[in-house]
Amino acid sequence: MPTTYNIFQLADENVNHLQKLFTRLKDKVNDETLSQVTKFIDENLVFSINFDQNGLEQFLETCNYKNAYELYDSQAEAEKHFSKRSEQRLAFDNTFENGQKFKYAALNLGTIGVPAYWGQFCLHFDLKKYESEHSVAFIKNNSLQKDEKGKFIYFENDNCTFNAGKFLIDLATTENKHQLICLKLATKNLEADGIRQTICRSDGSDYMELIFINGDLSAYLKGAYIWRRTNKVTNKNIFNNKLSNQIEKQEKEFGKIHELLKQQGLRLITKD
Amino acid sequence: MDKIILKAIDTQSGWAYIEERGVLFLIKPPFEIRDKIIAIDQNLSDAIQKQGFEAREDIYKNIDYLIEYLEEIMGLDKEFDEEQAKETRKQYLLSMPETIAKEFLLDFKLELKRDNLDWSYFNYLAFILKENEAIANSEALSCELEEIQNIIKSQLKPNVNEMENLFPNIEIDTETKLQFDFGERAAQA
Repeated sequence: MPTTYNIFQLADENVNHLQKLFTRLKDKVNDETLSQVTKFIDENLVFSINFDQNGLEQFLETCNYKNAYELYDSQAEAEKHFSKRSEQRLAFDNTFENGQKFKYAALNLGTIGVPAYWGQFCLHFDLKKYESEHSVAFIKNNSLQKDEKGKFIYFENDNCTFNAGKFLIDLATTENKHQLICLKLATKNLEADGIRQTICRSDGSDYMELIFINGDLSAYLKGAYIWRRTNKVTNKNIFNNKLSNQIEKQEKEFGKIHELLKQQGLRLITKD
Repeated sequence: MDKIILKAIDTQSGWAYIEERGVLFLIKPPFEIRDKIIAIDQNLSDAIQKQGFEAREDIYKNIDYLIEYLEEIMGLDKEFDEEQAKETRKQYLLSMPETIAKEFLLDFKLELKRDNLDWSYFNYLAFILKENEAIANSEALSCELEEIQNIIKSQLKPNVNEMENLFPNIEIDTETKLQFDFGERAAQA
């Protein structure tokens, strides 16, 4: 047994397992529905990252996305960033080769991502282009997803020990990601909105995850969104003529973000 | 993950409305557990509309981060520079791209239906928006803004009538009076 696993190799090795599950699924689902779903995914799938205003401003300066280990000077600061998931994040990352270089994103079919957890701004990136140039791995769930009882689903009952066996059967490569997505959707609503929310729930933290290493994302930027709730609040403070240091700070940062997005040729759009 | 959403804050007193697991609370300094009071949406709405709370929608990883932030800003607001904040707001309004400006104008129109508005402030906002590049370059948004300005003008008329009563022998057209009204506002800013 290796001391650390190569996540991309593990995803490759899961091809046959996914193929078997997918064949079983095909027997149960109408061919036309499956083909429509696959087409919808193919036409709309992107990867997305949510940011708060500071994070977005920082990212847009260089378009080089950094994980917490790269962003903070010390391990202690990175762990503070991980907050209550610190133990699990470290256990997960230390299981894999280059784990501390991993970047995490959500698969996305046109939503605001996960604003309540990771920030009111959401950037969409061109997945097809990125995966044609770099190694990526797809996971059926967020790697630190909890179930309804609060247990991390890829961890043992102690919530500290990473369960690699359970994890690797939920991995996919570029070639078979559609199979993994269809399996995720299998028991859910196959209408467009249902599909979007199953891939990435905007009111929760349940999303299909993408793991990648190269953080230079400048060539893949595709769309920029702000959570409508945030935009409404900003407007409300203006209409109420409320002024304070914090409001000023926010308006200043938002103004800067407008400028930086303009430089990138992106329009900021509101989304629910 | 027990994230907290800061919904509204009074930066002077440090009182804040927060949402935790879908439940709304009012918290007050020194932020002990006993200072956490269950609230309802009406309390939040009153706080923003009537009690001068800032509306917010900020997300915090947990309550400790939020309290750290609240303690920090209570100190910060002692050095508040109002003139600078007004200038920043002006720059924000000017920076809005088309889609954001469009939503702003929609909200603006709705806002005009509220009671007891400071019409000269709204006139001032509309005046700034006229300089917004995205609005100026869009026929649809320019029309929308013009419509808003017409509503504001109609509401400012009573003030104009008051002026006419004060200066019965001087003939001033409405446009000039509006500019005068704005001029005062601009001078204050």
